[in-house]
This record gives sequence, C-alpha cells and structure tokens, in this order.
Amino acid sequence: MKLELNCVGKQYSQDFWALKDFSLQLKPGVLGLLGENGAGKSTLMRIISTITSATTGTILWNGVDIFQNPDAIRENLGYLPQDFGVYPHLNAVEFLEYMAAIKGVHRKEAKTRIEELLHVVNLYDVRKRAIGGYSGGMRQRIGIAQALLNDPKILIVDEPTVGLDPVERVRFRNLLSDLSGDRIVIFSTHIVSDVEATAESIAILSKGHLLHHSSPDELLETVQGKVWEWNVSSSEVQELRKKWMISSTVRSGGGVLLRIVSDESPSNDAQLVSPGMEDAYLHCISNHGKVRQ
Amino acid sequence: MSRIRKVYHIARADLLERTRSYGFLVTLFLSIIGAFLFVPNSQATYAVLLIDQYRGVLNSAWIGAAVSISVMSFLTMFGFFLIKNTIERDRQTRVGQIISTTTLRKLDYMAGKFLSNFAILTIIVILTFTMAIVMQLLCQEDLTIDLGSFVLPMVIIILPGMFALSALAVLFETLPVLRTGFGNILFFFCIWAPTVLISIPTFDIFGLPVSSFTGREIFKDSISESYKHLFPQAPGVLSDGVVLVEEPLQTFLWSGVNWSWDIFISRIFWIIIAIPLLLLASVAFRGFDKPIRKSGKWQLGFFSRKEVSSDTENDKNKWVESSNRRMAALSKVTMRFHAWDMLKVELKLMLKGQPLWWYAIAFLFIVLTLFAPLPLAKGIIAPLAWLWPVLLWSNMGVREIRYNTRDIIFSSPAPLQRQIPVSWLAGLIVAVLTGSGLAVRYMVEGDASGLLTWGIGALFIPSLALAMGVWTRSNKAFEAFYLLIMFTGTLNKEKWMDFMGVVDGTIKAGVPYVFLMVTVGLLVLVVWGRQRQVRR
Repeated sequence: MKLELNCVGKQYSQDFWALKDFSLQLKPGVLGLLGENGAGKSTLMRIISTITSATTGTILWNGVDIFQNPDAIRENLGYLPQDFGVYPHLNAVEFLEYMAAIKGVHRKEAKTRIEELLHVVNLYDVRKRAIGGYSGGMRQRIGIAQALLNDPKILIVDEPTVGLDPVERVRFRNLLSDLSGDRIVIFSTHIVSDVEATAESIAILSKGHLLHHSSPDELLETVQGKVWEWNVSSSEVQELRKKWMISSTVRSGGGVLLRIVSDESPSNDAQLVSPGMEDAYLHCISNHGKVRQ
Repeated sequence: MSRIRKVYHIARADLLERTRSYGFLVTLFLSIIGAFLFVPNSQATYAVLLIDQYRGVLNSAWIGAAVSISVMSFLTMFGFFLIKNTIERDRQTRVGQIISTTTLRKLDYMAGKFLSNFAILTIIVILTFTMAIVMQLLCQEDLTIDLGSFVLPMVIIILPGMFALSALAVLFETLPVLRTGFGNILFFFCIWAPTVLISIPTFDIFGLPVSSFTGREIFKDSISESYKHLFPQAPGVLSDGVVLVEEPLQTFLWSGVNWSWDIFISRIFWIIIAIPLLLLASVAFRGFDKPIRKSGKWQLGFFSRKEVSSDTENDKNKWVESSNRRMAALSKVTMRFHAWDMLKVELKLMLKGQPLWWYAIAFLFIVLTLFAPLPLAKGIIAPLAWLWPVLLWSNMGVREIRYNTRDIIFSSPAPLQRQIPVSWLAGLIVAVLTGSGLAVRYMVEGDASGLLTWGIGALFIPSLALAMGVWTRSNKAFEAFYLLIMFTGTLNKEKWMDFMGVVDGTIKAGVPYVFLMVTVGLLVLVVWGRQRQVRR
C-alpha cells in the first residue's frame, strides 16, 4: 500500500499557487500535516481526495494514477472535510445508510458496520434522531463515522478536532492511533499537540511548500539545545517579543515565564529546557521565513 | 454610525456579494436574451405586442412599450425568485448571527436588503433597455433613437413596480411560511398570475389615481387610440405576451405615450406601498435564531424523526472513553454497489420531512384524476397533481450544494455514474406515482398516444429538475421555470409548452417528440454539469 505524490501543484490564479511542487511518499501510518491557515493543507487533501484537480504533478495510489482513474482511490478512501454538511431531516442511521449506499458498501455488512460505528462515536443512543438537531461535536462525529464506513485504506481527515471539546479531542486522537497500522491516515491540523499525540510522521507546510518531513523525534532533534525558559517582568514582554521567538508565555508569581526558541541563550538567567513539538514547528516556520527574506 | 450609513453599507455589501456570483452573470446573460426576444423582427413567427394583425413600426416608442410590457410580465416573476434570497443568504453564511449581535435595527436591516433587491432589479432593467436600443438598430425599420421613449417607461412604469416587488420579496423572506418554496408557489399563483392575466384599468385610492402594477393599460390605451384613429372600423383587439403568428404582421406608426403628470402620479402608489411592506417585514422578522423544529407527529412513521435540542441531552451523548470500542474489532466490509439500495435511500432523502397531509393531497389528486370528467381531469387536476411535488423535484441536483455534502459525496466512488442515474430515477418514480391517475385513465380509455405523451412528460420533469439544479445550483430556477411552463402550457393551453400533452392538438403537432429530444438534451447537460462539479 503506497501513495506517491510527485511535484503536485495547484494554481488558482496567475500569481497564486495554493500548493507547489509537493512530493511525498506515504506508507501505512499516521501523517500529521501541520501548517498555518492558508498553508495549502486543505488543498493538498482535496487533491488527494479527487475533488480538486491538480495543476501540475501526479499522484499514484499503488501505482495507479488517480487523476486518470479517480475511482481507484475513491474505493479505498475515507474523507472527512474541514467543512461539511449533513442532511438535517435524516437521522444518523439513515444518513450513514445513504453514505454506505453511495460508497457501495455491501448492504448487509453496512448495517452491522453502521451500528458498530455509532457505538464507536457514541451516537448509538441518539441514532434515531434527526441530525438537524445535533450539536457541532455530534455532527463532527457523524462525519468521522461516515469516513470510516467503507473501512478505508486511506483516511483523510481535515481539521477533525475543530468543534470537539477537550475530552472529545482526546478521544479522537485515540481513535486515530487505533486506526493506524494497516492504513494510511493523513491528518491535518494547526493544533500541534494533536499531531504530537498521534502522528508517526510529520509534514510541515507553509505558503504551499513542503518545509519539512520527518518523524516527530527527528523534528524535535532540530531544536535540541535551542529552547529556553526565562522569567521576566510583565513590562518587558512586549519588547522581548520583537527580539526573540517566543513559543509560550505563562504567568508565574509576579512575572511571566517565557519560552524562547533561539540558537543562542537570550540571557544569562535563561534556562535550557527540553524542546516540545510546538517549539520545533515554530523554529521550522521561522527558519523558512528567514530563508525567504 | 448614522442609520443612513448603516442602511447604505448593508445594501452595498449585499449587492457586491450578489453581483460577484456566477448566478448573477447567468441572469445578465438571460436578460440580454430576453431583450432580444422582446423585440421580434419582421420575419418572426411570434409577437409580444400586437393589435388585430398589426404591430407598430419598430421605432423607439414601440420597442420601448413592448419591452416595458414584457419586462413587467416576465421580470416580475423571475426577478422575484432571483431576489428572494437576500436574508436567506445571511442565514446560510451565518453572517446573520453576527448582525443579530449588533445594535442594528430590524427596519434598517430590511431597508438595506430592500435597496439591494431594488438595485439588482434596476441593473437588469437598464441592461434590458440598453439591449432594446441595440435591437432597434439591428431591426432597421426606424434608425432614429428617441431616448425618452426608453427612459420614460423605464423610470415611470417599471422602476416603481420593481420598488414594490423588492419590498414584497423582503416581506416574503421574513414570514416563515412564505420563505419556503411554498411561498414561491403562492407568489406565482396568487400574485404574479392574476397580475399578468387580469387587465385592470387605472383606478382611484382616496382620490389618488393608481395604474395597475404592470402599467400595461397606459401603453394599451395609447396604442388603441392611435390604431382606432387609423382604422376606425377595426375591432382593435390588443394582445401581449408570447403570441404565435401565422404570417408576418402588418405595421402602423405609433409614436408613443404622451407622458403626462397624471401617469406619473398614478405610479406613486407602487413606490409608497413599499413602506408598509417593509414595516410589516421588520415586525414579522424574528432574527437569525435557530427555528424551533416541530416534532414529527404529523409525519408517516417511516418518514418521521425525533429531535435533539436540549443541551442536557447532548451532554449525555458526549464522546467519552466509556463508549470505546476498538476500531480493530469492527467488522470488515466488502464493496458491492447496489443500485436498488441507493434508490431506496435516495427516495427516502427526497421524501423525508414531508408531512402526512402532503401525501393525503397527492393521493387525493390521483383519485380525482381517476374519477373526474376527462376534460377536467386532463385540464386541471392532472397538472395540479404534477405541480404538487415541485418542491421535491426542485431539490434534485442542488442538495449537495445546499447542504454542503458535496465533498463527501463527490469523493465517493463513481459519483457521476452511480448517483445521477439513481437520483433521476427517484425523481421519475415521484412523477410516475403522483401522475399515475392520468396514466391509468389513459390505459382505461385505450389512449396509447396519450399514455406515451404522459410518459415523456414523466421523463421530462426529473431531467429538467436535475439539469437546472446542477447548472444553477439553486432550486428556485426550476421552481420558476417549471411553474411557468406548467402555467402557460397545460393550464393556459399553449400547446408548444404542453409537456403533459393534455391540450388538444399537442400530440398532433408533434410536441411530445420535441420534449423527448429536449429531455435527452437535458440529460446530456446533467452529465456534463455534474462532471464539472465533481472535479473542480
């Protein structure tokens, strides 16, 4: 099972590429796509999901070009878009039955699968109620269930934790971990902790370009010895922001504890600490910015 | 910020949003085609304005009058359907929720939306009249352009009408019952059709002269007077709309309406009426809160559904660890597409949410078609039976856009090959079932050609609905067009629009075969349109 992206690009206007020269080879496991808003994550996912055509490049699913033969990947695809709707008059079972029929899931197997998935996303008790009355989190879970209906070999989830509360987010992360193994999962977010908890590899995008692709450990390695904590007074923070890349601020006693990503120590009072994924992400984005400037 | 500025910015933003849409471009294109059709040349086999077997020389006065009458007949309907979505857009885009949290007064909001509606209609009217001037030059019967003959009818007759129409559209959007497709049907039959069909002379309200909404009598009186002067013995029967003519009409010179203050004053009412309509709209408007949904007790068990609304209940359904089931333990599935399964769910989706009385009335139409005298069954009841499901059909091809399910559906296997045929079939089943009364009647009577025509009509409806839904991305285009052809064809006995074949002479003239070819063309359009949607 292999997904190969070769020089994939998407041009929306003469001077705007949402994605450019994106190349990556994916094997079973969870790939976390990180990037700021507008980095090109959703465009990439939509291209892989065959609903947006690419301007350049090719995507091969097990050697088959999905632009020539989109159904090759669609048969094996589970897709949860960032922004999706439901039919409000249908209940959860009916909506999933509809999606199962569209996807072509075998009738009898679909029935069992729907019941199981409703248990997984804990909507079984409200399965007979119209989706129009569901909360945002419940709708998101219906979306997750529909993506898993056909037991997809490739699962693409675009910002899936938006609309979920903290408990549900943790639950979703666990589900993603549970799903990986014999399938490719592509999971986009701008919440670094979500990726940190689930991804086996991380790709960082910025302004349509792939900046970095590695395992989480390798990404962390890039900021080893470059993360500092420094306790300063509140009045100094604004000035220090201009000078250093601050990844977090925490109120501490009378002052503020800054977390700074820097090749050099910002002060003799600063302490070198273990890096986190957020530090590594900021470092990567910042380095790319410097290179571009 | 002053109230006027607020109103201006609401109108401006709304106008910009609408005019930058694909749909507006289509509207402008149709307006140009409309203007072209409103000025038939000397060889045309139809006329839009004629008296006996005469028409006016195609000078500015005649073209201005013909276009004015046509615009007031057709744009009032299509325009209403076009503009009746300004508040709905704020609801769908959720901008309305932000607006609700501001200090903006409801009346100011309504006024802004009304002005935006009026601006849209004015743009279309100006474009149509500009094209009319071009048409005068192309027809070459009289090359002298008299701008007053175009501008005065536009300003005095049409714009006051559009003023009232803009306010009426806002009012329709604020009333829950009228906001829906039901409101569109109500507008068509209770407001538009009587306005166009019934000629009303200028009348008085509190001593103020009021001309009819369309203002047709102003042109007609003047044309009749000139004609009678030239041909005192002629009957002087004046017709407008789309009138088929066997041979080219003879011409006479009409130099236009004498635009007096009395005419101008008679149009003021249509400007003033906008004020109470807007006040009523602002009183009726309940903001952008989620509607309280009714329970499904009036729905058939198969189609009813329960609601979730309370937060407490939602809290119970939080996605907690205790509900965990391991994904790996879930049953495996195999892929095997079943068209029958798909058809079942497609039908369910189409019919879901219809109240019990909807089925009762559909059934009543079938029974009445079976037992009423044949002319009544064919002329009135059968067309009504096929009008009844218009709101079901109008969702075809639009649902994926309207409910934003496009991405998850179009990323499924063979979205074109699987979903489109089944969706069409579901529409056809609804047509066959609701129109079954007439089919049985034809079978009993042994009328094979009638049955064949009925079958073509049944094929035509879902094809038209799907094509218009896919290409316009709106259910209103089908609603407007379908109502129009049903109205002019079957109810108003215009055989070339009679897709049901219920008007005498329709079958003989070969109209059903024309509709069969149109149906095939529509299906080609459906496939092409959906193909474009699937891969953007």
